[in-house]
Amino acid sequence: MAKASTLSRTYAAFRLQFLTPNLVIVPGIVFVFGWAVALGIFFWVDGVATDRDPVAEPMFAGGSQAPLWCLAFMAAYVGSHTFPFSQALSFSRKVFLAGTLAAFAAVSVGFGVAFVLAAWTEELTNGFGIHGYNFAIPYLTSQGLGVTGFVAAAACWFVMLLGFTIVMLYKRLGLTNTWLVIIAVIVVILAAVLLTVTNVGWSGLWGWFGGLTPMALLGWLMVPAVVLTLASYALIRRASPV
Amino acid sequence: MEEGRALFVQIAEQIEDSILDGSLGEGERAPSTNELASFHRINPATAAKGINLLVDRGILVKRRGLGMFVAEGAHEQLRTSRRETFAEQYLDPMLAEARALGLDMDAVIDMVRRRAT
Amino acid sequence: MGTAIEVKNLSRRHRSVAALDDVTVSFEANTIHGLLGRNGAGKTSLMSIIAGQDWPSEGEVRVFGQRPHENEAVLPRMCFVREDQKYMDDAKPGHVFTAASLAYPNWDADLAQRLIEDFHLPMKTKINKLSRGQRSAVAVIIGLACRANITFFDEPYIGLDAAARQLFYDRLLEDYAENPRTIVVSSHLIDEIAPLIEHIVLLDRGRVLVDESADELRERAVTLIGRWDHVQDVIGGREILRREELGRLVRVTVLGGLGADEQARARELDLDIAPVSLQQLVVHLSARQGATLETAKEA
Repeated sequence: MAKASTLSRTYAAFRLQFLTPNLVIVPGIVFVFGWAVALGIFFWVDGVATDRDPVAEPMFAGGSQAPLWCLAFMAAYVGSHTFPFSQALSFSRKVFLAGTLAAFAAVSVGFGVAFVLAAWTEELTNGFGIHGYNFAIPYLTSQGLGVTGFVAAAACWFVMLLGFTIVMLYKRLGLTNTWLVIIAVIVVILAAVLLTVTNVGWSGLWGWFGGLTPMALLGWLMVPAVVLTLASYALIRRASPV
Repeated sequence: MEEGRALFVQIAEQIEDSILDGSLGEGERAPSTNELASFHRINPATAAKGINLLVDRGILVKRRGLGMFVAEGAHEQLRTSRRETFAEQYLDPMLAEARALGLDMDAVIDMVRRRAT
Repeated sequence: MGTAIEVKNLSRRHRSVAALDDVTVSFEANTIHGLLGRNGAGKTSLMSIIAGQDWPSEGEVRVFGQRPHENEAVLPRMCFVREDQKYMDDAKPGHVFTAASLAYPNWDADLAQRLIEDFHLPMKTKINKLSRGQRSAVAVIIGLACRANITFFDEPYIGLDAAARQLFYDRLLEDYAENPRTIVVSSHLIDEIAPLIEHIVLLDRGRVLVDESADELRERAVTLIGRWDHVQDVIGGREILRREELGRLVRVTVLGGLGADEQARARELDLDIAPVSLQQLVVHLSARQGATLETAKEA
């Protein structure tokens, strides 16, 4: 009989995530629409605010975030609908997770590239002539478009894993316990913030945030991303379908 | 196939019946396991068991690469063994019924004779 | 042929409820097995654990001599089609078949295509818009075309009409004849699958009640109809599975077939002997409290 290598099976799990439009076409549409809506508002504002000096008062909007939230949701959906044994498939949890995370990584890279292309377009056209920016945010592009792309990709990877891990948590622990864990994590984060604030004050914390270069932000994003990767494996390892 | 009796025995009996009524002659190829399985819609392993039962009794012989064939003398052998069980299988129930109806033996024998001619 | 699946002292508890209670059973390779039992008897739990999906509370499972859980040497060789198999909401049948073709090394695309035509499966409709029977057809197609060495069908017929069910049984037998493999079918329609299965495992409240060949089981019970004193005379100490009365007439189903002498005696006493179908036997055995078939054998 034909033998299945772990590699080909991981590829099968990877491909599984791209069989439906969930991870590429839907976020792609959100990407384009989010941008288009933000641009529409820019042009409307530009038309109404006749006394505005575009160069001195550029407009910025968060249209670039829309696909991120969409992808977080899609990653959660993928987690709930394509368990290792869904659709009568028989993947080990390890192989399924490796394939799925590879799919998320591919999507993140794609998002990073799209982000850079969009930012590049905005820079090239001076914000479509009216200095309206969704992607070429000065902070993000301050270390060059390459770093912008990496930060965007890392942010994408982070939100996808967040969505996915929460669903794994739910599968493993049930709804009540999932909320308890989420609340516990929020409490821990708040406690950490409180502790920092009492030590260095608000200005110290904000100063630290403000002082972060995109490159440093990228580094800090990797910490929760790695934690979530490990958490999702720990959760799926003993999880059961249904 | 009728439920409640081992299927492989029923398969063997049906092949025997074909041999007895001459529709399957000596030296002819018997149906294969898969033919029997798909005709009766049964598991091939069950069909194989039925065939093997007949091979064990010398009714069928295996020719390597060709399949199962009806053995020489199979017809006669089956007749002999069926004759042995004929009385038990057919006469006993008939006589039991006759007794329940209060028929006298001579009347029964008479009936048999009239029907037979 | 060898053993495909070995289960030893397997228990599965959900909190305090035991879905499986000390189950020891094995499934021979290249055989069609029937996994029978009432709802809640533990059939799905057993298949789920063997398939490496659920985890046992106690005991061991070996598939081709190896532990199945998280074992990529074994998992690609197994396919478990659940009764209420979940798919991605927005997937069409083609997506699911593509996923299966990638995941199962022996996938037969031609067979899948033929079955799609046989079952008239609409390929342009999303799976969650398909009827129950059409979803069952999707499950059946995956289970057959994957050609996994071990395939579990968990009540694969729900929503399928009689003609479609017969189609499934026919295609299963055909493909099994050409590509022998280990198949475990769980079903309540025992009469329908009876001709297919060689071996029967009957579960009852998480325990193994019967584990033997279908043909042996068919001869394990007999129904006698006649006067009670005459019936008693023939059955002796056999265990009575079911007894119905109509005036002086009784119909009694007992465990243990009749020998030639006993058959002759029954005829003498003017008793009717009726065979007991697997379906009837399984119903009787499941209804019985306590005793296992082993204790009945001794009686």
